[in-house]
Amino acid sequence: MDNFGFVNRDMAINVLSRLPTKLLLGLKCVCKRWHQLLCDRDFTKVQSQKREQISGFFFQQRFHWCPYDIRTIAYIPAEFVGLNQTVFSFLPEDVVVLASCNGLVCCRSCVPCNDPAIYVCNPVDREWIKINWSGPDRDSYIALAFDPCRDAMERSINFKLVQVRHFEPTLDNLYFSFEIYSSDTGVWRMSKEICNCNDKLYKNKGIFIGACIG
Amino acid sequence: MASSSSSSSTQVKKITLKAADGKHFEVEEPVAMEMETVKSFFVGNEDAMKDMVVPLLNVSSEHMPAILDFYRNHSEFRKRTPPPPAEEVKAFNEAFLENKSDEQLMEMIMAANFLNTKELLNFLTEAAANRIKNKSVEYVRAFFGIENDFTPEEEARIRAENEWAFDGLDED
Repeated sequence: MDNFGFVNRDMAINVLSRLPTKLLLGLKCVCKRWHQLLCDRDFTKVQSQKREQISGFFFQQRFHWCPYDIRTIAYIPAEFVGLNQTVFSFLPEDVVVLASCNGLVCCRSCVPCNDPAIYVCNPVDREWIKINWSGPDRDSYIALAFDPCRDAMERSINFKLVQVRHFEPTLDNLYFSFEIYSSDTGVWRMSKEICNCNDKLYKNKGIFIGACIG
Repeated sequence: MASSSSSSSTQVKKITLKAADGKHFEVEEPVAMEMETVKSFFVGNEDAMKDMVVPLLNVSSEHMPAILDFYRNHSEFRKRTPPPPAEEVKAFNEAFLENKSDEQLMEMIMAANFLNTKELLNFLTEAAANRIKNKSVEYVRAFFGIENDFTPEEEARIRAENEWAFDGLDED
């Protein structure tokens, strides 16, 4: 028995893909067939192409002059009063949220720590991967690029991280270098591009536009 | 809106549709052709045109009048210049759904799927999504007529994993 109730699988997909992602998480426990369907990448693809209202925000505070991170990440829903601090509890350690892009979130270990790492995770299916990383420094920033709909045939999800670092070889001369991590190769690579810019542009976070990070 | 729609023109060709329970419906040709399933019945089969009865195996006669009403009104909305005000379309759509039970809505979704008409199907599935938005798992099960096949332990584990998704749901 299919267990889609009054409708068939296609119609279940048609109805469910119109719902916001957060509600679909709760509906995973309707029955086994729905659980399977809602975890299916083909379904996620259909659903992520529909426009969705913002369900809420992640909020994390930072000390300005202190080497210790604040470990609490709060999820603040947009449509009702509430607060939830367990969204990232599936990760193996406390983290600081750095960037997000089309459903993936990039975090780093809280400092101080012995083995700093970057985690790229999906809070919806609670999957994550750990990426080796040199650790935080004052002169760099991480941006995340991910487009789940870019490649219609490709079922694996690939993302890229860009670490932008600024340096001043001489006074009045500010440069940016770019180190890129690609999930399909699994390595960091230094870009040959260097950007010379005499205005302090950095730390404005990365913005993913089409296929580039600005 | 209640003005006579097609009395002025010469006689419109009719097509006979047969619902699942055998009841016949005489439908103006342009309205019948809104349904891809009916249209494809005649494609490459021109001599079938005249007195052929088109069987609609998955559509019960209970829903036929409402479905035909939807096609009539929406094709008229599309043709009208200037286009009808959004409130008029909205009012029609709301009235269309007003007295439909959840089960009737599901049956009409399956009918629209069979008739292969995007506009009606999108409209009905959007309506179904709105009815289950922010509802509890129990409510959604009843809505779709689904039996829970998880053990209590399995269900509790999935709930715990997705704890934050259950905040802010409506009362049933």
